Parts: sequence; structure tokens; C-alpha cells
Amino acid sequence: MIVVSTLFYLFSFIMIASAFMVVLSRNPVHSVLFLILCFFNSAGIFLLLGAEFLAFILVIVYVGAVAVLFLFVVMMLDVEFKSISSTVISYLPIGMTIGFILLAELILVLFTWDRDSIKIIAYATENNEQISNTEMLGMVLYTDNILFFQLAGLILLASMIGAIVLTVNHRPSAKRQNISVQVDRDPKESIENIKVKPGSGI
Amino acid sequence: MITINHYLVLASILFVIGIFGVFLNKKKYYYHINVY
Repeated sequence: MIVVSTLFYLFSFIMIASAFMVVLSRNPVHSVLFLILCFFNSAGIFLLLGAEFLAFILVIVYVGAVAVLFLFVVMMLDVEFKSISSTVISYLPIGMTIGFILLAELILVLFTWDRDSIKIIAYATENNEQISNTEMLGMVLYTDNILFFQLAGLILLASMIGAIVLTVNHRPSAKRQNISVQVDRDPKESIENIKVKPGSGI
Repeated sequence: MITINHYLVLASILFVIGIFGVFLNKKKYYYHINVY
């Protein structure tokens, strides 16, 4: 138990420190790298909780895909570091004020809240020690929760179509294929026989 | 013994850091009187 406690405090300390570095770092590339460190530590905390599926998903999806995508975007955009960092000091008071107010509110809520209702959520994974939670998720995902799973997919599809519709750029100068016009072409309209007299042009 | 309290406090600290970061990295500062 002492090992779990030590690991929890280690992971959470590194996580909070790297989260601070994400918002304080002047170089956006460093921010993304600290974000990746933060993800790794939260994956460690998920492992401590026995949620290995979530931990691996966090590493594979967030670190492997999302954070690397962020990194590429940040490097491609070539953000001007000086223009951002020069004004940071003037934002510090309002940011710290709002941060402290929020933290005080959250901790007040946490220590006055009846947490017995959490046990209802924890019940689903409590009494199945012989099955891993990856297997458990697999068993309920396509059976009991098929509707929610498909709805989530539909929402993602809608957001993808929305992003394409909002960003698509039809330039009038670009020459595009019109497949139906090409298929519907008629030899009578497109081929013409002309008798050309010798010595004269068309 | 790590209880749910620990996780909730950790989550709230991380959330607050996120909000703090949003304000810290704002480009325009609307709250300052001498902004113009």
C-alpha cells in the first residue's frame, strides 16, 4: 500500500509540475512536450487505479496521435514566441485570481460533498476480479451500450462533415472533373465530321 | 491509503491550472483599464 501511495504522489507531483510548465513555457514546442509528460503520468495513475485499458488508450491515442499532431501543427505554424511571451506578465494577476477562486470553490465542494453516490458508479467494476477491464469493456460496448457507442460515432461523423464543409475552398480557377458530364457525353455532340477542301483551312 | 479525495483534489488542481493557463496566454487583455 505504501508503494501505491508513493507512486501516486510521485505521478501527481510530476503531473502538476508538467501541467504548470505547459501553461508557463514560452516555447509552444516545449509546452507540447510537457503535455506528453503529463499524459504519461496520468496513464501511470490510471494503472494504479487498475484501469489499464484507459492507461493504454491514453498513451496510444493522446500521446501517439493527438499530442504528435499538436506538435506538428505547432512546428508548422511557426508561432512568434516573443509576441506571446512579452505580455504574459500583465495577465498574471487576473489569471492567478481566477485560478485561486476556482481552486477554493472546488476544494470547498469536494470536502462538503457526500461521496457515497460514487459507489454506484464503481459497482460495475467491483466484483469482477477474474476478468480484465479491457475484456469487460469489450463485452458491454457492443451489447448493452451499442446505442451510445453508435451515437458517439454519429456525433464524430457530424463534426467531421462540419469541419469539411466549413473549411472546403472551391476556387473557380481550378479545373475539376465532372464525372456525370463525362459519362453522359454523346458522340453526336462531341464529334463533328468536316470536309476540308484542299488548300483552305477550317 | 489513496482515497477518492486524492484523485478529486488532483483533478481539481489540474482543471484550475488549465483555466489559469487560458487566462495567462490570452492575446487581448480586456480587463485592464489602460489598454487603449
